[in-house]
Amino acid sequence: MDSRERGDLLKENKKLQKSLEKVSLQNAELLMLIDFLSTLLVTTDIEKITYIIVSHIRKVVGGRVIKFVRKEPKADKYAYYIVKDKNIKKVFLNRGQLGKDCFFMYCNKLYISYEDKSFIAIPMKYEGENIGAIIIEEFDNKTLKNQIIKLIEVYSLISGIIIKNCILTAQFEIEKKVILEQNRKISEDLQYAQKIQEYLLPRGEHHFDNYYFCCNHIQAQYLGGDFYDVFQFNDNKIIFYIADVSGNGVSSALFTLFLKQAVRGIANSFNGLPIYPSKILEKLHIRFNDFIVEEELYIGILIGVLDTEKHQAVLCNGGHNVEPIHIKISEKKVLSYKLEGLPINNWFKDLKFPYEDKSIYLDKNDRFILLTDGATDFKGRGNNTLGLEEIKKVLYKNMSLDCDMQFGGLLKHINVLNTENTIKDDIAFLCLRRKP
Amino acid sequence: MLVEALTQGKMKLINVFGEVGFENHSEFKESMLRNIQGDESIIIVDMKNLTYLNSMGLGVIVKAYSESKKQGKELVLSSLQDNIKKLFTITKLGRIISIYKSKEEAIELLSKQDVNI
Repeated sequence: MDSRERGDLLKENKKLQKSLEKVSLQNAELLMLIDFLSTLLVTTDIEKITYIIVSHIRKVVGGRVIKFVRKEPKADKYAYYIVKDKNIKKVFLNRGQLGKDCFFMYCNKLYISYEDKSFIAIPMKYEGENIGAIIIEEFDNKTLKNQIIKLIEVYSLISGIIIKNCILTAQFEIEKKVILEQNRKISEDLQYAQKIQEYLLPRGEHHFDNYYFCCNHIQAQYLGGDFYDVFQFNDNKIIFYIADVSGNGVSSALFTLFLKQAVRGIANSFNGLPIYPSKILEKLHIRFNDFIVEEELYIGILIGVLDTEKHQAVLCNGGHNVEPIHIKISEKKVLSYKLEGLPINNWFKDLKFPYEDKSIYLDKNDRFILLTDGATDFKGRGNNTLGLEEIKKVLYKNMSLDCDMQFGGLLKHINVLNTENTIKDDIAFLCLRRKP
Repeated sequence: MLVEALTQGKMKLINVFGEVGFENHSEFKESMLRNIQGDESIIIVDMKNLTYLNSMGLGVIVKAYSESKKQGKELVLSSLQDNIKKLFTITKLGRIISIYKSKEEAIELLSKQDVNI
């Protein structure tokens, strides 16, 4: 090898060495970046993230004093850190308290000052939103290469995304706490409301002359829309009804209150006059129309006036969707009556359908049962609906049992079919029996 | 529950699938009220594949019917399953809202009507 060839080889060698240095530098930067990212990924704690960002940028640029301002999860609040040597000072600021150091948060690009007091200001953004800024003071500006500046820009881009993510996570946690607290309060209120509704919807027995009434219910939700009531109108007339306010929840429960007051009030207005269930429903319809409610809210009600001397029950249906059931003990039959009628609603102001009364005779020991659709629409195994005919079969089987036991028998049957251990809709039950 | 709609000239056919109960009646309401919008003068709600309709769902049908009426449209129902038909009979709603045996019957009979189809 001659001297010229040796010179070329040396030149080539130097070139390669330079490239190697460059690659090794890029490799080091890449490793730092990976290290930065992997550290950031282990936490969503905004404080930890802040310290990770500060320490990494300090590692890259150096500098004795680092100031860092960033948004807090709370609106218009900012955290301001001053890191000097090994000391860290943190203060919370409102938007109006942001000083001149924080100005760089609103800059779009990295800013470097090489004057006597050298500093670098690195704004952090997320989709145009000003997230924060780092200001590094007292650094060696001779060592600041373009490569480092580019690296810092990448850091600032990543930091903006990460801090925004932390802010959103923290905001989500704050909102979650608020919602959970509100939910707890609403649940408590609903439980109280349920107790009040239980009081208004008593379970148990009523005795009027030679008649015995039994009322019971089970509620699927805290507040239900099922309702019943039994009260004496005069010496020989008892008014009873079962109703289902569409839907459930507070509005439906409040309408059951309206129903109780309204039906009793309307009945009082017939004092000394002949009373018919159809007339009660007509008046109830008028009263209901005082409310401006959505079409989804309406009342299905089946009402009866029982004459305890003539043993005659006059019935009228206002859209209640379960046929009343008559257990004729002497004939050993379980019948149901198809009664039609428009629910109590505000659907069509211009349409009027008269309510129709139907009279039935109750023999000794006969039972007469009113139910809500929680029972008929109950879905058991195979998603099959229980249905009225199946209920009639259960009642037929338990024909000799008294009213309370009949309800117990029906619930037992439902429980056997129930695969979910919960019922989805309320079940209300009203049974009357003529005493022997 | 699923609601799908398609337009045939001046008629809109709304197919309802599944069950409408407490859990999804709001979704049903939203879908129905959205689907009755448009230029069609006749809306056929086909319930062939609707297996259950609770009391609030019934109220949604009434609301959709009233809203359609306000807009000068005719909303009818078709292919009701027995349990749902019973609900419309008991509440006498079947005397207010027209019910057809099938969507084909509804389309045929309504096409003959003197409406701008």
